Amino acid sequence: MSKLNKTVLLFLIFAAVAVVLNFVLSGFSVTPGALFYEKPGRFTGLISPYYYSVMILLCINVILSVSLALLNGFTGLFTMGHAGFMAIGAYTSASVVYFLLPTAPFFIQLIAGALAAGAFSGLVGFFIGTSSLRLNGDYLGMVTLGFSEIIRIILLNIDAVGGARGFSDIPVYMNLGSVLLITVITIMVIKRIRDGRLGRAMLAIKENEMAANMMGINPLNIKVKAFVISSFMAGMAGSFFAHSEGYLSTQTFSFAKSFEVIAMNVVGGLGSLSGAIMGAGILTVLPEALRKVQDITGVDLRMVIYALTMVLIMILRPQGLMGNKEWKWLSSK
Amino acid sequence: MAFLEINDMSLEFGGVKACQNVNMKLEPGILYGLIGPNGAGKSTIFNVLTGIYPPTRGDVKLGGESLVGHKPYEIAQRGVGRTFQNIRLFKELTVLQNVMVAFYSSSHSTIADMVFESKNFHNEESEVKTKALELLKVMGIEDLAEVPAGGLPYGKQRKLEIARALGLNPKILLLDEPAAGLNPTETKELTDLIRKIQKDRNITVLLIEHDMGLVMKICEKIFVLVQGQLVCEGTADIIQNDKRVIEAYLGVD
Repeated sequence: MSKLNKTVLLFLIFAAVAVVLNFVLSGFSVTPGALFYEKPGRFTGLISPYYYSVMILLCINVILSVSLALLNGFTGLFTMGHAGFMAIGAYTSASVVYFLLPTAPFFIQLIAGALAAGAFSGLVGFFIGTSSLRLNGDYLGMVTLGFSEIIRIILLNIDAVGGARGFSDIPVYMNLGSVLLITVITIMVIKRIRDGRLGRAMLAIKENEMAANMMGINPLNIKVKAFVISSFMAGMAGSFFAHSEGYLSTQTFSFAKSFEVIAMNVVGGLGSLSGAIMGAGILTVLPEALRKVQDITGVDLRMVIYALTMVLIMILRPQGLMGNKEWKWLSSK
Repeated sequence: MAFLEINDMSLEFGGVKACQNVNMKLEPGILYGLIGPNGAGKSTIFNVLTGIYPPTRGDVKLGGESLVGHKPYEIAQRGVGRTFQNIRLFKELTVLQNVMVAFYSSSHSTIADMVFESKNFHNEESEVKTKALELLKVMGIEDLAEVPAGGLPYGKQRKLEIARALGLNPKILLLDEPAAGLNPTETKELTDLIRKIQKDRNITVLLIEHDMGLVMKICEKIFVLVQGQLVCEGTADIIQNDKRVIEAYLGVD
């Protein structure tokens, strides 16, 4: 009982921090909207709208990256279709809010959208999982890549969600404190799954599927679970993305996005949760930080430096920045 | 009725007859040996027993129930534990985690238990940990519990594999060349250990081994497999004096 209380206590502390953050960033406003779910109506000198949206993007990328780490890093399933799950989540959430709940309070929209996004994405993940998990290695990568492109093309051809014009006028209500809270929860959920018997089974399958089989573990069952959990989280990330941008285009969810998420995992260190977070941080912040450099130099070297950095990291630390180490608060002991 | 029965089992890969009409009956609580020249099909029999290959013909029964058609993990859950000729540990997991993996199917904590770190979860984790440590102690490697399994010396890896298989709480333990690559001291130590485990837990053990000293010393009954066919079975004395066995190992005059 005391342990459950510890989890609840931890949650309450993080939630309180999130609320205080919202309070400060919204210019000390005390309306429920400002404290819990609304994007600040006006930005005081504390943070510019630009940094605010970069921070939200960072959180979304961290969720994507750690959810891929569960599949790629822990279970050893090489998938290249994470953008597909994100797209499903983004469009589901936007559609639910836009068509079904246009007049509901933001608070309801936020929760309904995110849950619908996660649930639908998880469901699709379940079907993809069960149908393609007999494949291994590169083959699974190809199938998931194909699948994510199919999702994108289907969305491109549904006129109700904007088709090629993109889905606009989606209510915007992401606020940093809440997204940060959900990001932390996502990280903790994945950490705890990793440290439990399910996580051990996942790692065992990654290391040696045959031996895991001989230990009474059904690899298919574990892989499908990993797929569903991961796609649920990617769907939620998609939902937050939709409601932080207010506009969706299928272009965003091309395979380049999937590779970006894989790159986050690889740069940070495959198999390390801390690495996935660090990788997401670097690959989100670096291109934005380089804008400053561009202002000074006057030449657009942004993408060159970005690409060179990645190449250098891979040459100097092929195992990723964290290798398979973890930060202390994320280590299994 | 025997505890584990292999009835008239044949396994063919295309034209290659890996096993032909093999009949074996194993009684509970006895230590069996399975010997034969290289390529005789010893490991193949293990692979059939554990469900990796379905037999082409014939049947395998554990406690009266057929194992044919069941998935490898289902057979493992029914109490068939094994080790591998070429060691298959979870190299990046610690020694302790390796053994804890074996308790997966006998534990019950759900995803919610793990996420909320419920009382259930904590009790089960510490229980599994205690049991796993006990097994490591039996094998004499408990001081290495936190070391990654891939970093263990070869002999200790072999021991860890046995500890891991015991984590399933098996009714029958299949050991595929447990002494391969060990020096004489290690082999002697392992021999005693296998016999001790078998007696203490009163489980059936079937072991494949090329070290005849080990086999003759501890196996109560020995099966000899030559070119996929069982040519002889019996105690060490019977085997050593059997003409076909001598022929298979030493050739004919």
